Amino acid sequence: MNAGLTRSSRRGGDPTSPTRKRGGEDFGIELHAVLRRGVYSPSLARRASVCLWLIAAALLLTGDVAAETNTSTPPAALDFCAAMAALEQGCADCHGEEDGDGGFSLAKVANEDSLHLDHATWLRVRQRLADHSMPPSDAEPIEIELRLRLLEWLRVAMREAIQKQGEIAGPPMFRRLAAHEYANTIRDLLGTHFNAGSGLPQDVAGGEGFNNAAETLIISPIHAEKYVEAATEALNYAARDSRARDRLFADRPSEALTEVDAARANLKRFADRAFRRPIESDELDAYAMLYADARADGLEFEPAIFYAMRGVLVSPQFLFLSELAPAELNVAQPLTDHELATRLSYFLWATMPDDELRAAADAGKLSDPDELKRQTVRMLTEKGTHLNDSMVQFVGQWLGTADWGNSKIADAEVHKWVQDHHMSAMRNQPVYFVESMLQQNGSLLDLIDCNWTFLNEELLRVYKIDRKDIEARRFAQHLVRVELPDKYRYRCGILGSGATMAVSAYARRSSPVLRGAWILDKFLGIELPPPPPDVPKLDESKEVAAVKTLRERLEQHRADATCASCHDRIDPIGFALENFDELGRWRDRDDGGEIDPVAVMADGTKIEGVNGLKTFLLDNKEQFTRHLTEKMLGYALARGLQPNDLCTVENIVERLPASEYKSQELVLGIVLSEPFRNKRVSE
Amino acid sequence: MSKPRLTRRTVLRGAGAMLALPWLEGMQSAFAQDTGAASADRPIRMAALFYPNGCRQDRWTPAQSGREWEMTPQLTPLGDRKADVSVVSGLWHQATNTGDGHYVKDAAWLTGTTITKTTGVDLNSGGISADQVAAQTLGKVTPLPSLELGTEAVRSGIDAAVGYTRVYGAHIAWRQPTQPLAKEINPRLVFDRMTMVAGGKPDGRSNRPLLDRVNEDAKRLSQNLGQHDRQRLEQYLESVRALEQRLSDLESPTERSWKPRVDLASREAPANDPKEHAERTRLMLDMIALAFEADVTRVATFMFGNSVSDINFSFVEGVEGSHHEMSHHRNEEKLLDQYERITKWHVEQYVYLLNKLRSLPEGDSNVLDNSAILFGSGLRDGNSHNPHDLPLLLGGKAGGKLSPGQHIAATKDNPMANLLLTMLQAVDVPAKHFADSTGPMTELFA
Repeated sequence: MNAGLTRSSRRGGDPTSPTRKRGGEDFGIELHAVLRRGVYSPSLARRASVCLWLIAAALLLTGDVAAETNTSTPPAALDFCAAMAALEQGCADCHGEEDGDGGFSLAKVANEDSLHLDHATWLRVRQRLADHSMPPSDAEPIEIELRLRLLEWLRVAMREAIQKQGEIAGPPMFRRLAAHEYANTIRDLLGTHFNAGSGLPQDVAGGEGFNNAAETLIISPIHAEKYVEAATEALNYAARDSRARDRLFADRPSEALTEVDAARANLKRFADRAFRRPIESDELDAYAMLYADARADGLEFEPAIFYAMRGVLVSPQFLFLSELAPAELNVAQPLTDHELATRLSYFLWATMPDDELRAAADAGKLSDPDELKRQTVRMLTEKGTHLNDSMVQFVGQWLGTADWGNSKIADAEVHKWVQDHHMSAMRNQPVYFVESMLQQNGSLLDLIDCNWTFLNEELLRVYKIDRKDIEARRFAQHLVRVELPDKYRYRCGILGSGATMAVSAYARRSSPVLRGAWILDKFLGIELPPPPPDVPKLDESKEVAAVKTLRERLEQHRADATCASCHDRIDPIGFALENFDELGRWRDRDDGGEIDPVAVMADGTKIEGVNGLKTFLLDNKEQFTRHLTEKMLGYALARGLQPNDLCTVENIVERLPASEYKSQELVLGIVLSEPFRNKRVSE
Repeated sequence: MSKPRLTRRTVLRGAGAMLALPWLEGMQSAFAQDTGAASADRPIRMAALFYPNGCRQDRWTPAQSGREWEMTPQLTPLGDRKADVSVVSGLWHQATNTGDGHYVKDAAWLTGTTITKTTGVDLNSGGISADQVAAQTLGKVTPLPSLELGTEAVRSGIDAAVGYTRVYGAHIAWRQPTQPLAKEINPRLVFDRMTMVAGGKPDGRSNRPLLDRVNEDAKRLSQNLGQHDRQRLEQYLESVRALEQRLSDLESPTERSWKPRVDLASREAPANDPKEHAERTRLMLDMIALAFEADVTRVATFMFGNSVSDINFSFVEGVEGSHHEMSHHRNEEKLLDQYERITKWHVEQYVYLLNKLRSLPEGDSNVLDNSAILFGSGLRDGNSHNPHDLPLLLGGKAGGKLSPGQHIAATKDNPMANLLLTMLQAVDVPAKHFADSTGPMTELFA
């Protein structure tokens, strides 16, 4: 059952060679439309002889979709001509003329160059197709199968067109610190272990799905008072900590140093770090004035400085990460060294730069790519850095495992024994995994399959692992990296982390549909539309399953062409994971009998259990690494990706196989990319 | 993205944005003066309690309209409060009949507009929410213009399947179309905040010079910013100025200055970050009651849960699973029954608040009689995400302006904005229109 995959079998051959397609459709993942130069002419196309692809398209438009998916020959990929023909058929009634409805005319995008020159229009076309808002409900619908293929073609063709443009920098950063970044920064700035962020409102994710995204870091009337309160409490805490005080007040009044100058020196050192750049002298004057007034009103030396420091901590210069905008429009400008250090630090550590990174910025060294690279590797590998502070966010939010034990908890009645420390260990497992992978420069493909994970005493209990099977190791509360014997290989990587299986299940039972959709979204970035409103939802309940197996019901569901278009992709993947229960524990049986984790895809490919799923994911490793790259780039830039960023993504993805998918190459690819190191204001 | 066509709604939206400006200036002039018909001894309050995922649609609406209506299964928790509550049926927000099943309906519950579909960029509700329109008037006389409360931490990530950021599913109060109001989900923090606000002059050196300094730093920063970023910075400055104003009033009180109506320091603080959903909900409702009793604010919104809430309701007898899960009942009795039980639980909590407010005497009346408390959802049937005929209850007499105890059965697809307008007028907010309203529901007036 757990024979496991061997490295040689999955990495055999030239790693750079494109993965074998299991048929043109193959979940639409490995489609590579061969773009042709040229202009598509609707009038010519109507005569249906110019474009060979039209024949395929016409077949699709008129053919029986169900029959189509059942044939052994998979449908061919679309190209520009075929896609245009399909759009012509579906949209020309309203958008055929020059002055088409809603300001959209097919003629506007008839030229293949429009894919990058008029990207925004194409994006709209893609969105309207994706959310089924076009064609409108009173018009002839585009068959779901063709719709999905059009979407896939658009995704690929638009990307390839974009890649021709080259990498382009994005806007300068301007965002407030997210609550966790605020807490981490205060901790490092004051050198105390006080969580100053606990009273701040929760930040909700935007952009690529992370709560550091500039666009969703909203500001409410409540924020000012919360920041004042948090700063006051944090500084009060520091005032009671002699080590923190020694650091903050390194300059003491003496015969050689007046009180005012000592205060000024302490404040300068503090504000320099708080603002993540050297403070201007007039700025310092202002804070020194706050000190002087407080001192004049009778506050002692230290309290008066603490008061001015509170002022620093409520300044927008501290609360917001902001970069100087380039003077010229549409011209990229490199970030300043301090801006770059800040970006790097909040990307990898979710906190302010440490002394060494700051020193490199002060010395103007970071503009040198070699030094930038050196710092990046140091930040990933050096012992005692804050990599965990960032990865806990990145991994937890990417996979949704941050919710486990927080907004989603184990059912208290069914799983009475589950405590917070079980759930937190489960939540930490994938985070520690990614951290370790990065520190040791392991392969990104380890996330899918490998022979190691992190375990502790709690997880041994949760997963019912016999400690005798794990190489002599004393377990305690702390998670440690362990090598897994073959029989526990299913515990490795992301899939073996119980939290991932738990957040993709209902409270009291697993769900192949939720799991399948979760894998497609989190691993491959395939976002499937929600079911259309008139489709009866599948009954997954155990009661019904007793009469008819869940599998039978799902198969019945999939007999409906509308359902099949998505569930053919979702269900087999979910079934492959049925050996994991709603807590991610292994099971060979459930109430309904023996688990049968074998599922057949629409094209006839069998997925056998978690191992089969791993093979499937590894076959699609390009799509996996692309998705991971998009996620990490979005997290690094702290904003949603724009079409201009896609070229960067493609360039990074293209280089990964040559480095055997070394995980540090992904991070370095991002850090050294044009949009990470530069800023550009467009009109 | 295409430029939106200029529709009636767009015009209204613009009008809404303009409405807000006088308030911002008004804020500078303190909250020392009183306003409207609400007198010092009888403040009028307004609250809106949102719950996600709709109701069991065949067992909500009473068969009879008028005053002689019979309880339906999901309304039975009203019990003795039947005479204090009006059931309003037949309403919807036409503008929410689009987009996805939840976010569009929930974010716009109090705005009646169409939100912008986005994972973040161009976040826009399309309008100001009714509570914030009320806060522009009622909020002038209290230290906090409004209070935004909830119970549930927002899930991580964006809802990739439908393409909306969960910001929409977590906010019903919109101060500006681009500014949702962050809510507190920990009752202890709410209590601490109210205690601080009502605590008089703060100890130690005033923070006001520091806040002045913020403005100076912001000037330096803003020279360098684009319009959108400048707006964000301005939002921070607004929050700083509001705090400055509050501190100024606390530090130099006058005869007419606001004073808390109860001594908050003598009250027991609620549990910090309680784990159980039922307990957290009760404590939050207690905070609304306390805020109204002490007159810390006169406007509150509360979210029982966020959109597509994953809260496990197995603590309710007969329920095994989460709310959203049960709302997709597929018309099966077993699931419908659990769905119904969850709705009933929410109505019970609403009644808990009504009872609590009623137990607080105020002159010869009580706080409930001086309030208008809305309860409802952005959906009718959760299974089909049906936005028609929303489940809505309006409790309280708003100081005698409202005549509760009725079932108002509006003809199908009347705007819910009419109900929101009715509430605004009942609490003496001088509004003539709201979103797509056609006029107040006069039957609700006394």
